Amino acid sequence: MLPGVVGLIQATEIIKLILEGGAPLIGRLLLYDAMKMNFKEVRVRKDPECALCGEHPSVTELIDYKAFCDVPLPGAELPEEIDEAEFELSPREFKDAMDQDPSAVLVDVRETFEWDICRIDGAQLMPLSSFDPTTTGLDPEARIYLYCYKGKRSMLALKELKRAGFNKLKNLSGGIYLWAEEVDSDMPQY
Amino acid sequence: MGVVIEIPSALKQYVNNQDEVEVQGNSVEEAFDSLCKDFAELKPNLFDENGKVRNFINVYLNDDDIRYADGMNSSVQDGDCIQIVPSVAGGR
Amino acid sequence: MKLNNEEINRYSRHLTLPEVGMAGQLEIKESRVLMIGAGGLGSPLGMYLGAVGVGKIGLVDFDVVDHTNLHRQIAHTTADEGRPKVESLRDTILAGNPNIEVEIHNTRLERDNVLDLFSQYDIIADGSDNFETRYLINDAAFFSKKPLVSASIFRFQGQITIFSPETGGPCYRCLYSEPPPAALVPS
Repeated sequence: MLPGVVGLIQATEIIKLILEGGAPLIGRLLLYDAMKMNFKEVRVRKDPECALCGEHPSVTELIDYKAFCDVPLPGAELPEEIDEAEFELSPREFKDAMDQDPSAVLVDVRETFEWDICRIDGAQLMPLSSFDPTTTGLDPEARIYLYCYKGKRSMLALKELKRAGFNKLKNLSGGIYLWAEEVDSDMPQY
Repeated sequence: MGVVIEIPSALKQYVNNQDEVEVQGNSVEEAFDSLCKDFAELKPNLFDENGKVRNFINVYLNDDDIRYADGMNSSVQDGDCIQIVPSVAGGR
Repeated sequence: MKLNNEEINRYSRHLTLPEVGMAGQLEIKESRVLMIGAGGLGSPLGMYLGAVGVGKIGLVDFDVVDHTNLHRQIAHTTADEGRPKVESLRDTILAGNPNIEVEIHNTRLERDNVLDLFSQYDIIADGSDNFETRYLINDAAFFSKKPLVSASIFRFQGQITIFSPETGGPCYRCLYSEPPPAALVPS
């Protein structure tokens, strides 16, 4: 329901802009919290040092936004280029590889609330939000199989582990979402 | 009475799922020091290596951004509210 | 531009509000709003903009309606599963008000199509779901000198504001100069 409330405020502001009426939400950020059921407002100022609209802009045309948004985790070194495909296994390959490898370690990097919906048997939960490759307690020599919801977050964890010296890593391509489709038809998709 | 720091959804997991935490201090920095002493995991999520508030997080003292006051040195009084507002991108 | 009799009747409760009136309703009819995102925010936004008579609504999205969307993306119904969201939302808007024009763009917003699209509209509404698109929209709105009505949500919290550097206001980069690290963004 949250998007309903927020989308309607957006609609209201658009009509006010068209009618040039009332006090538009320019220079003000409206914060809505459905759980507390309150609205707060904070001031948004024009930043004279803004890279786009500031006094000495560095962004003077459209840029590469994928690169701009590829910000590394705090403290992480510049990401080395790795060939993701080398680590990806389809759900079926992932299952077969684990079945043939009794010492395999299965790691789920989703958040607790997702773990509560469904999980793969034998997995250990290490949410990416608090993931620290140096304190996992995992053996760097162990074969580690990672998964998340659709395979993107577990690849990020995989890269972190690789940087921390782990070498035997595999990622579930398509995540538990595809696993439910291709391996375990009793598992719900969310 | 102290200073209330409001915690956004995205960071609640680091403070035992509380919406707000009341702390003591005479400046924003002291208030945050006090908060991060109790909840150490929060610190790297709020500040970079140089102790600067991370670029995707804004800190408001009452209703204005501390960037436009004295930053972390901005003085606070009992009853003030510090609001942490991270950038969120959801639309779905 | 004029309103026909059906429109006068339809919008009569607007026409009798001094803040809107005939002149205001015609302004609404002449306006062109481009919405990015036809999902959670886009559903109510598009339905209301259409109902109140915004003359031209553009919809940009490249996703299709999924079963897991239905509990909150209220413009889409169970029968719409698998359809492009822009088509489903367009049909819902036009069912509510056939007097307006809805132009659909079943595509991802990119660096090479954004400026051309923005040039055809007066106001941009951001209901997208990722940082790359949000910064692209912000920069393109700035270069196009169009106001950007921005909304974003996370769990139980929402943020809404208008970026309008063309009238002296701040832009998205003034508010947040950088996105969070990719690893911290929920996928």
